[in-house]
Amino acid sequence: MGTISIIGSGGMAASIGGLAAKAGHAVEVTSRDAAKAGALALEIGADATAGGFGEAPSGDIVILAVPYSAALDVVRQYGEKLAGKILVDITNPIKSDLSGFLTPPDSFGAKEIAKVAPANTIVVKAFNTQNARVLASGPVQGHPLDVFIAGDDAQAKARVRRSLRASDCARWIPVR
Amino acid sequence: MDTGPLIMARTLEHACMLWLGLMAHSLKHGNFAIGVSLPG
Ligand SMILES: NC(=O)c1ccc[n+]([C@@H]2O[C@H](COP(=O)([O-])OP(=O)(O)OC[C@H]3O[C@@H](n4cnc5c(N)ncnc54)[C@H](OP(=O)(O)O)[C@@H]3O)[C@@H](O)[C@H]2O)c1
Repeated sequence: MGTISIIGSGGMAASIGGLAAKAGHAVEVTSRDAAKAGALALEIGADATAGGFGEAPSGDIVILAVPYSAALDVVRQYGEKLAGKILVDITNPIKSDLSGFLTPPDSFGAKEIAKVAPANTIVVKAFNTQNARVLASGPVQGHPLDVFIAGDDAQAKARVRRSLRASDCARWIPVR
Repeated sequence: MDTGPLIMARTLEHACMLWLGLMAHSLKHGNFAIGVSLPG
């Protein structure tokens, strides 16, 4: 099992980090607030660690768990440190008054993130339609939750699914 | 569940907007925990 790195220490970081740890992955949490990253790593347990914000993530899979309004700047800030990584975009680029999207009309969040990421970073969209608490609370009456995944690289998608889904860890991982 | 190539992310982002819109309409109050605040 590899390492999953998470950028952000909020609700989704906690849910996804918890799932990944229960599946047996090493989890690295990074946050602009080092204390929050440390606290979340402790909460996740299973030897989860806190990494330095803006430093090279230790995992090959990096979950981008910050608001879309911050995502492009954060990805730019990491820059080449995300080269070769699978970057999982979980954001919802939606205006807070629900009047529209924060993205240009001819684009979408994952595309804008891919534009600012290094050329060999593979962007995969996942988790954006799933509520953090629902995700954390696991299967509903024994049924796994559906997490929708989109991306151009089939192998990367398979790795994201494998890293967080049921097969070998059905007891813990509600994702199919 | 694999929905296809990255362009499908647009649909997933729209699906979230639809979901939030339905919630806002039916609940009429906000701060739903999907990373977006709903209007009051
Ligand atoms: N909550 C859900 O149910 C849900 C569901 C699907 C998708 N999402 C998406 O998941 C992402 C994270 O949501 P969340 O609910 O986990 O949000 P959250 O609880 O508010 O956490 C956001 C995290 O992003 C960090 N952050 C905010 N602005 C930043 C900036 N400019 N630079 C660096 N870090 C910044 C915050 O750091 P500080 O703590 O220091 O502010 C915090 O660690 C969002 O894109 C959201 O749309 C959420």
